[in-house]
Amino acid sequence: MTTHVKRLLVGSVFLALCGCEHVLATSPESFIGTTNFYQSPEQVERAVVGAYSYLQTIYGAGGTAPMWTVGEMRSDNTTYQYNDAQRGSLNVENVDEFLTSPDNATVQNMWTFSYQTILQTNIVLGRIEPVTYTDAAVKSRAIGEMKFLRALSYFNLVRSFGDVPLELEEVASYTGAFTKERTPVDAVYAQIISDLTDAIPRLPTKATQASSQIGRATRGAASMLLADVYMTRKRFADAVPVLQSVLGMGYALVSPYDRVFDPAFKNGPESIFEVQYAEAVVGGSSSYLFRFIPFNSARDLTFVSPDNANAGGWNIPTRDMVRAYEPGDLRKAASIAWYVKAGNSVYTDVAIKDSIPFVRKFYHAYTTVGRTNDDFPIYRLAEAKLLLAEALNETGQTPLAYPQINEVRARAALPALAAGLSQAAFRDTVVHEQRVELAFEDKRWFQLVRTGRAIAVLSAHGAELKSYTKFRSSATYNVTQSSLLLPIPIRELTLNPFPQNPGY
Amino acid sequence: MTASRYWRFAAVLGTLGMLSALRAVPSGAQQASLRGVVLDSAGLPVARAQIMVVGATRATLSDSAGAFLLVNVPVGSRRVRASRLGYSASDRVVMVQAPETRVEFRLARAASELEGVVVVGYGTQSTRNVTGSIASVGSEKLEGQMIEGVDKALAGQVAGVQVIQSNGVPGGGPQIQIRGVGSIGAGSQPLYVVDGYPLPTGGSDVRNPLNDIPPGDIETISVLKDASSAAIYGSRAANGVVVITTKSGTNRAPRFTLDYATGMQIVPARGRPDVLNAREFAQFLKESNEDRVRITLGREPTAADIPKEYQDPSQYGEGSRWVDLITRQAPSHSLNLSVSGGSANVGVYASGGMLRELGTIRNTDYSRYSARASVNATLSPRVRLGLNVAPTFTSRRLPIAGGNGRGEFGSPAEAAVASPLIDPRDATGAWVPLIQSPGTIGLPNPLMYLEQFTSRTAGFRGISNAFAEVQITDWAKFRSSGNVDLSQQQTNTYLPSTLAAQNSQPPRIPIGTFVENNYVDWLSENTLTLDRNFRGDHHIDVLGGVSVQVDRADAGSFTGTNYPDDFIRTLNGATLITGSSDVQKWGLLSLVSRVNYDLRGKYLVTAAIRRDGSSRFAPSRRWGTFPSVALGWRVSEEPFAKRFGWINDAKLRLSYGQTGNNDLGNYSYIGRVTNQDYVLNNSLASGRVVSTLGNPDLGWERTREVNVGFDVTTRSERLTLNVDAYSGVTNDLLLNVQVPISSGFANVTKNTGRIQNRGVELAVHSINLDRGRFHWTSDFTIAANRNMVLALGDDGSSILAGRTGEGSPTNITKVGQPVGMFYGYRFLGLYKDAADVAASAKFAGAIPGNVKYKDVNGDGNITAITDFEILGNPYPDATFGFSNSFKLSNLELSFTASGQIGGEKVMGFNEYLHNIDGVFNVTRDVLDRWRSESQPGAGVVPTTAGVSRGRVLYRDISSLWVHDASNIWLRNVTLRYRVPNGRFGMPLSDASVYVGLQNAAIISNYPGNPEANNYNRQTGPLSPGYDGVAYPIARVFTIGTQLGF
Repeated sequence: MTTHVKRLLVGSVFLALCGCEHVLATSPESFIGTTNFYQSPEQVERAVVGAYSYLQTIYGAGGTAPMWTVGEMRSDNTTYQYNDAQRGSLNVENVDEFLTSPDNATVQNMWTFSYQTILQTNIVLGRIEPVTYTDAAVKSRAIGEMKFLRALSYFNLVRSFGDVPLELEEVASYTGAFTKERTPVDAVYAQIISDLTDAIPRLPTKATQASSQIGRATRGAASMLLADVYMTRKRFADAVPVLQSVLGMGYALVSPYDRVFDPAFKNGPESIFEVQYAEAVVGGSSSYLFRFIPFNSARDLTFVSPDNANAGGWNIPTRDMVRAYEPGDLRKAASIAWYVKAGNSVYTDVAIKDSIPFVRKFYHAYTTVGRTNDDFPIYRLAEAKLLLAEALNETGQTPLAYPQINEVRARAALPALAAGLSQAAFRDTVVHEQRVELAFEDKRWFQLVRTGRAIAVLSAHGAELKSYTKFRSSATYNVTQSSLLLPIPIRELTLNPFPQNPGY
Repeated sequence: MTASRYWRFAAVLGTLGMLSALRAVPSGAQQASLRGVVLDSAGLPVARAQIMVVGATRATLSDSAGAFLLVNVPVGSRRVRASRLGYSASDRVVMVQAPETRVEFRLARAASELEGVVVVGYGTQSTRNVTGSIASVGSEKLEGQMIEGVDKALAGQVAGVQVIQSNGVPGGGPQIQIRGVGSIGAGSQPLYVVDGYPLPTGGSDVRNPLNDIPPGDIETISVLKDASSAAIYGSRAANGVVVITTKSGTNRAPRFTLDYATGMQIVPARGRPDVLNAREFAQFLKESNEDRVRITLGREPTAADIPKEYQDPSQYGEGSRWVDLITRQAPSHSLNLSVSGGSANVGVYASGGMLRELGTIRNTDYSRYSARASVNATLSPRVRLGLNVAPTFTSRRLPIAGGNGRGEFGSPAEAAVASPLIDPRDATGAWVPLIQSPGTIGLPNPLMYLEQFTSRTAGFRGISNAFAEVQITDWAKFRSSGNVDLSQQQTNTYLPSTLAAQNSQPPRIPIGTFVENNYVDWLSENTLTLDRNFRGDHHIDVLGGVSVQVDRADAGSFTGTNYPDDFIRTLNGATLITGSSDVQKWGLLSLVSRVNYDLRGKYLVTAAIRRDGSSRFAPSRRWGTFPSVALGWRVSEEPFAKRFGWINDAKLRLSYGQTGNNDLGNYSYIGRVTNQDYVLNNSLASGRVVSTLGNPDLGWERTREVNVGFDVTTRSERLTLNVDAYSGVTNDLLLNVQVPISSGFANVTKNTGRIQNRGVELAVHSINLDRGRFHWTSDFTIAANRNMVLALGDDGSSILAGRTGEGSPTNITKVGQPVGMFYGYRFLGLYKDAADVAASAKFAGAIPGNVKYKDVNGDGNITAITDFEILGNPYPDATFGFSNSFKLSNLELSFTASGQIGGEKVMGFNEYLHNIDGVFNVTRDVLDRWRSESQPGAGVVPTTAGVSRGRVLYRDISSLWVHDASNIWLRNVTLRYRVPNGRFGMPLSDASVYVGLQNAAIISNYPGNPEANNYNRQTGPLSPGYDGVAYPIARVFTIGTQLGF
């Protein structure tokens, strides 16, 4: 055997052996494995930010974002502009018209995005303990933020669906993903209240929050959420001190009213908690404008191209909403704008002569195509004041309630309320004041349900809408007790042995 | 296997190879060497012929030069046989004398393939000794067609191999399915092995591995159908294996071959969507406006209710036939020049080829420039080296990706629904950018879009192999090979401002993209083969080897927008650029072994085992073992069989094997933490979220299959019959199962579920006539496969897949049924009158004339999914192929037809063609729709009035969409004239000219392409058979010539 043959053999065998088992140990480069993360304060910090990011999917304006449909358009404040050529968004229309079925995509998104947030918060809360922090306050704050976001998610879920599965730990396996039953509403609220009570002391006040942290949950945000929960549970006496504590945290009403929504004054003195957006950040901009302007407005209302053809027409203020403002109320022009064009009168469902109203609060100039700069308010001081006014009235302290509501009215250039209203009359007044003050901020539906007014108000709202057009069948707007909860998504019912909500 | 055991195995193998090499023994005094060459009737070398001493079962193969060396042959008078796939075997009695005897064989091309050898995994095997189910197709079957890749020529050739040509994208390839669908969560494509190199596969039909190999360079294709044959490829073989061998050099004087063909492609009228012309369209919209006023508003329409464009339909004629406008007759050319030759010790094959094909849709094309150089050198009597380099450059212009469904402006689907009232250009000859009539959805002008939207993909792929073979002793051979597949591909697109967007006039925002996909894949393989006879009767050959394959893919994708103008179209012209990149890696470490044993050539045993370690699974689940065993009994060798004089050869086969599937994402077992950012203080805040649930228990999908086969050849080989029956079950399906969303996750990949495929296959080859100058042969194949889901998930819950425009699923995968059954509403007719509406199940707001579906769950309401039922089966009862070849002297006529019996297709594009909102052009049957109780029409198309839900239901999946897809497809007809050698005073050999017609005719009741498939839709095998009106398949007239000199 010649030498070169031997060399060849040695070389070949060597080649075979050098590529040994390490070739199997490939690790991903475009993502990180869950087992290798959450090990340092920096990693936990990113996970905390990641949990906040779902606020944009829930409260945003994308076609899949559920909150504006569920919280606002389902109420008497807004409806949609019927677009005969675009029948692809029936799921959104169905929510507005109380034709919601368990396969409704918007409803499923409410469920999905809320539970996605809950998963992220559970992961952080479950894994933060062994992580060593040099500053214990940072760790405590992270825990507080996650409990706040978890409470907010469950609050949205329990108000939308009633009894829901209560997940408080990271789901880490296939079998762990299944839940036998829905947790009763009372137990879900108990968990929400416990999370918030624990979170409040851990969180900084807005005044002590570093500027780089602006947009994160504060003590004020958690307190406001807790108060909202108490109001929903009709625990008015519990709500009063919490709301009063919020009033003592240095917030102030911003004047004029439209500045509250102006992107140039984001996170201003009145802001307690808002969904953060920035036009300059790729993927971090908002898009309410495109969704909420009339669909036939083409380029007339967009500041920068493109043509918005057929993309809008949603969340259009109803005639009833337009009428709701008292004469001289500055909030009307700041909340509702008009698209005036000859021929608009063919849209009989929403147009008043040739004018179609649309939401003004999130309609501001922008410079980059498709990216607007508008934040979305979740809690602001005016709501704290109006909730406090309501809670004081409900607890028999009506006279104390007047200054709260009058301050809000004064900013809108409205006169102070006449003193001496009965408790019932004051109740009606404050509900109305909340409606106009917080219009288009996804509050109205929950307010109507919380105050027991939903069925009556929405039945009348439906009758009025049906009187304008023929396209809405008799099946629409049949609002009953069971309409007050959304159906559990059909997908969940096929995987978990839950009962469906009645009526679906 | 643990690391240490692997090392031990490898070390033993290496040492064995070394030791054997060092103790090479000289041959005994009574032994001699037999050296020679095998040539065909034209005097050209025949490579890979098997040479054996009859009775001794000692065999060797000829090399590319046709040369062979058979050592240790006992001296004396011996009967020596040479055989080769596609040739008649030749026996010669040779007086063997020491030390060396020379002999030359001449093999004639044969109708019978029985005497030849077939390429199997890791080597070749004599056809008569094959124990598994392997079908082989020689290069002669691939000639005379204008095709980009050989897979298109496989249609109808092999029983049990379905070649599904779902679209006609230039340079696109068909989908190949072997023995039914065995996997739903992981890939379902076969493994392609080219010259021993299992190629990495991509998921898209536009990136087909076979497109990068010119058909002219291919010598043979073997399809390893049963699990026992495929198991040697272990973890990737569950969907079958296609083994391709390319041509290699000879050591004769150089011989050049020139192939040139030119074709003209036309789009047949059959299969184009039958939509309304301008007059009919205006009439339809006039009437639907009237009906809406009458029925919905309850008054008589006035002229003001009808848009003026529709008031007088008689003013229009045919209007714009958009599908016709965007298609064209398109020429194609292919040229391949090859040379094969060499000196005594070196054989060379080199080829250069060019293919240029214009697409039948305007402004689409495909070009390929390929080269191949293959060198084999015999360095010493015991050492051979080889090098094979095959670079390919491709370029494709394709503004539409495949045209499945709407969304790709300019596609046939978009064109079908565009308003016929609008001309592509206005009176001044300028483009009309937006095609919109009152009430319709404005679509960008398809013609203008095809012309102005630029999209070009340019790619390079280089497949290279190098090997060294050492004949250590006459019975032991060591082979080492290194293989590299390198691919780079860039796509540049630019969407200029001059184009319209949906419902929107230009200028639009220009968008440019740059996408880069690169990968490098290498394989190192070392095998040792031992081949010995014992005591004359026993022959055994053993293969053992180690293989390492590593793959890395890099991808980048960048999008630029806000170009200030259309002059600079690359991304530097954009003011806003976003992008991402990705890296994917995998590795596969394998130990391969196989034993073939035969006793007197009568009793045959093959046993193989492969052990694979894959990086795609968690460390504890990485290794899988894939054993197989196959038995063969050559009945015809038994004394009792001699009574049946009409039998030439008969063999019974029985095999069992296990194969695997690891074709899923690279890191599926790991839970993912991915980027999801937020904004804090008006600037970016980096966020991370867990996006998928990991599964550390993820392991192989495993298929176990039993195969029984019978091969028989009659005397003088007039009739050859192969029958196979098989039953296979795929266990531990890699399934993406749903989990409740309350977990925060939607699904997880899990090993769960079982699918069964059972079937029978029959292949007949017949020499019908062989008299003098007339020769007629026929091939017929038929196969029936029955697919059934045995288990799914933990609780057996069905999987819904596919998605119509209304958000409904189109297919259901359910226990007890085949995978991906069509699923939707059952059409019952239309509501006749108010009483019918009142008495029937309905949706809110139903009126007479609305569509009436079956209320499957009986709740009185018609709702999606809960009122769906199974509507049809996407898989045929049987598939068949039929080819014939008639030769009269030098003239040869051949044709191939294939088709299917049974099976359905869903005309998925009906979601648009059945849209009676008046927003699209629609099929002609709407002319006879329901207008009133006194004008109920044909009772199929509902009223255009009423609440939108009534119209929406009609364009959701229903039994109206399901059609029988049985078909006979005449794939190819070729007439060839072979110029006799030396004729016309030209120094030509093997010259021929031919004319051909591909896709000559389809006979089917299905209104479109009966093989349409949703190849590019996400859910893959779960939603088959969905026709989205894809790129049409052309009929091709070809004229070509083949010259040898």
